Amino acid sequence: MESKKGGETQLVVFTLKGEEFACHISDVREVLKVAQVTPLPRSLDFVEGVINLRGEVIPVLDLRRRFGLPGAERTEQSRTVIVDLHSRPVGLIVDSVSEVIRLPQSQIQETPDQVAGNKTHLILGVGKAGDRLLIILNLERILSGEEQIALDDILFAAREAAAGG
Amino acid sequence: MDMLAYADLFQAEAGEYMHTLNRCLLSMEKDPHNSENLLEAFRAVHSLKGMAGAMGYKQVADLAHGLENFLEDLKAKLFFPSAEVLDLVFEAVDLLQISLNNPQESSIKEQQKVQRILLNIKSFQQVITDPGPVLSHKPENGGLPAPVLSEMERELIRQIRRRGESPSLVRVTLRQDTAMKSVRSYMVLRALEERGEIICTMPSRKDLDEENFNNQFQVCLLLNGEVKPEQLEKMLLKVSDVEQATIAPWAESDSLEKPVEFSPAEQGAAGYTVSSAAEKMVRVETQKLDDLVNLVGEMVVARTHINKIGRGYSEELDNILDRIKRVITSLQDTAMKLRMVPIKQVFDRFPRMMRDICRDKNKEVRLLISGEHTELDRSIINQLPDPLVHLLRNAADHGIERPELRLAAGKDPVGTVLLKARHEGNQMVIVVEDNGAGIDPDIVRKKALEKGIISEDDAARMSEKDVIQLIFRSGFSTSDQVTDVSGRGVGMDVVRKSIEELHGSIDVESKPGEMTRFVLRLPLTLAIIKSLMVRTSGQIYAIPLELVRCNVYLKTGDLKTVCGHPAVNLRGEVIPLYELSDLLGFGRRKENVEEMSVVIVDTGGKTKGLIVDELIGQQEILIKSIGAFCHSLQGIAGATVLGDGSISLIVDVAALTENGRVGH
Amino acid sequence: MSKTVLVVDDTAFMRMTIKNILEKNSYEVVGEGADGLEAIDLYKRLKPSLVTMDITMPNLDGISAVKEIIAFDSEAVIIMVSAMGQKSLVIDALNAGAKDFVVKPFQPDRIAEALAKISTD
Repeated sequence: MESKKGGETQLVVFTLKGEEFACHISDVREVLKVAQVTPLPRSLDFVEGVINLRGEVIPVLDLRRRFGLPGAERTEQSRTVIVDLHSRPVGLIVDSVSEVIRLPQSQIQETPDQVAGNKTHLILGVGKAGDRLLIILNLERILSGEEQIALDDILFAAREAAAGG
Repeated sequence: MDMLAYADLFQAEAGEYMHTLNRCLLSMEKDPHNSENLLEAFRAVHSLKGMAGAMGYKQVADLAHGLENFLEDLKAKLFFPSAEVLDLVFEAVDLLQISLNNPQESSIKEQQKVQRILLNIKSFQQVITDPGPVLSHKPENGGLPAPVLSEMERELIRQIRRRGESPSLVRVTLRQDTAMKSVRSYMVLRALEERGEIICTMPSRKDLDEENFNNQFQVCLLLNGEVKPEQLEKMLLKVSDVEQATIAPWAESDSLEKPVEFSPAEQGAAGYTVSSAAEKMVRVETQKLDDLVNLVGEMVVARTHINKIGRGYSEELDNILDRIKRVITSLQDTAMKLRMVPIKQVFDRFPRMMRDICRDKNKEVRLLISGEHTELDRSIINQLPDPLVHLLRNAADHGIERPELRLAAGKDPVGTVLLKARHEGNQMVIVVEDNGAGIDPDIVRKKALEKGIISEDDAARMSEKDVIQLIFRSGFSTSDQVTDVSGRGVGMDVVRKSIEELHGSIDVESKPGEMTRFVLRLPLTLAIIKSLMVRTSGQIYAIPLELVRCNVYLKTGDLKTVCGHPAVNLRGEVIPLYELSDLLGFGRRKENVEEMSVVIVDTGGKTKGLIVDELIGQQEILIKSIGAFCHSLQGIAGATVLGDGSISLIVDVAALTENGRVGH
Repeated sequence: MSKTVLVVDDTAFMRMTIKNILEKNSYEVVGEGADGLEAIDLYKRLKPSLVTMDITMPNLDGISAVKEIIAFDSEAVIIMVSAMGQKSLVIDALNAGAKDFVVKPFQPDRIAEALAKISTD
């Protein structure tokens, strides 16, 4: 992100339990309605199952459950965001996808170096769009690790980051 | 530049020649008197030189040329291939490899190295001032080809004569109806080699090997002093199918005699065989093969689908569907075979590697390889070298003890490392075993505790067998830092991961003080398998058909309880029963079913029954990997997309039942 | 005293054929194995004077079995029974320590002859 200072960043914005999150558009392959998921036995509890994406079998995770929340009811707004993780696709189920937003780099506050005890490594930074606070997730950390993550940790880290700037 | 188009081909062939070269040199090290290896090494270097010259790779060509000269002198017995000499040759071969990796460049530093080695090699070569009387007979028998004694072979005979010895001519006649003549002749040559030194054969070894001879052949042999010709004759007659064997002193004119019973007609035929064999082979880019196999895979799936929809409308359509099915099945077989390659490709590099490790670490290790002809899908073969290198390196470095320690422990000072490959059902089994110090479970337990991989509770509870499996856990040993604490375990988690990525598994067994054995199990192919499709908990699962013995329908009354576990007595065999949905973690079904569908599977030497809701039928499926997050999945070997687009998971029966219902 | 033979082949038919030939030539067939693992086990228990060994077999192939048997008893006399076209496998087996080979389908006298030649040491 350093190198893009002064430029713009495009973010895909989605919601979970009323909070707004975002990830870089370059990490997103596509956004789908929630399709039928084949359950994956004996897997981590936030792994929803697998879906058939044009012949490719890809895992789908419930991001709510990843953050220690009960899984939400599927609604008309529910979406599966297909992101690339180490160039392999993974689906993330979110409450809704609201928009793709362009933010000037100056409106993005990067996460300070990790302070012991907090979870700032789970987010890349926060974006400020008017008075909205978009939490930019570090998907690689969130999806690769098996550590326990609570939504409150992330919100706390985001406030830290926002205040730090 | 035009030549660049051939660069890949050059590299592929050069790689093969380098393998040959290394293999031959290793054999020479063990058996310096065997001229066959020398000749083969010579041919390899010679071909390399020619190819490199054509490509304009000067450094490679120069180095190959130097080696060629040197091997030629060895062939002429100008000096003996002592360990010292061979070390130099190996060094030269390494340099050759380095130059090959970057054939366009030639750094001055490397050139200097090349010069130095060539000089060193030269210093071993004694200049022969007196070439001796040259045989200068001309063929007298009217244009018929004289038996081909090369200049080298003549020189050899000259040398022998100069030493005051004289070679013998062995004539062997095989029975007219001998099967596998080439192998018989091989047995004869082997027997001769035990009692002397073979200077040349007529026809050549290659022709003997390709059965380009009638039923007689001759060998020019230098008998060991103490062997009497009569004894040798008697011994040869003991080889099956040998009808006649005579031994006579070698006369100068023998080299000009017409070769035995080599009729012109046959020679012509032999000539054709050779050239047409070359035309039968063609090199193909591997990517094209992969594409082909993928396309065929998709076609198999589409065929299954169209079969479902189209069958039963008209006889004519059914006939066409049948025909398509037959054609696609053989197409699929053929396509799969194209990708199968012998694991020899991978194994070939190991003798050399082991030799170097032993030198480096002051160990004495015998590497025994078996099953190198076992075939495996190319895509899997390509992923195998790294984990195997790691296992072998560990075996030699950490497993096998130093010779003095082994002696003190009452063991053979030379350690043995076994590398075995074999097929087992639809799996490839590779075993890496050493008779070294073994893995000490106490040390592993202690280290795992220190690293926080297991708790005190775990440590107390775990069996020794389970404890040594901890070496595969990530975090047990940090990357490449050499640690001899565990006697093993350097980067074993990496090995495990790479095997699991191939849908394979790895296990370790060890007896402290005696041995360590790693057993790798891999699928033969990653593409298409035959499966039995079953339904349970509302989902369709695939069970690889190779594991399925039969299906049975059982009544509740057929059930027995053995040691608190449901089982059934099937023709006198008591088979434990499991509910598939339970194994998968979806819980048990209701008990009030009258009839149950059970799939009897054989896995890991055990027979088990899986209770399912419904048997759907057999189907060929294209295996797809599930991708991220699923490495830690136990009991699922992959997935497939069914004709209607839904996904069916492939059950890994062994893993599911092995862990019982531990789950999650 | 007749020589004892262990016959190893994965098909019952071949085992029977070989057994018949051997018994007609007054050998005593003391054991029959259907794969390499059985062969090793039976060899260790029965210590036969001769073994006929098929090459392609399930569980453990004949060549691996030869290696293990030779490792156990370097004097073991093993004759490979090979199908046509298994040239390189036969050579592997010989290098592993097999003493001779016969090719399937064979005439009965061939196998007897091979055994006779080899057991007159």
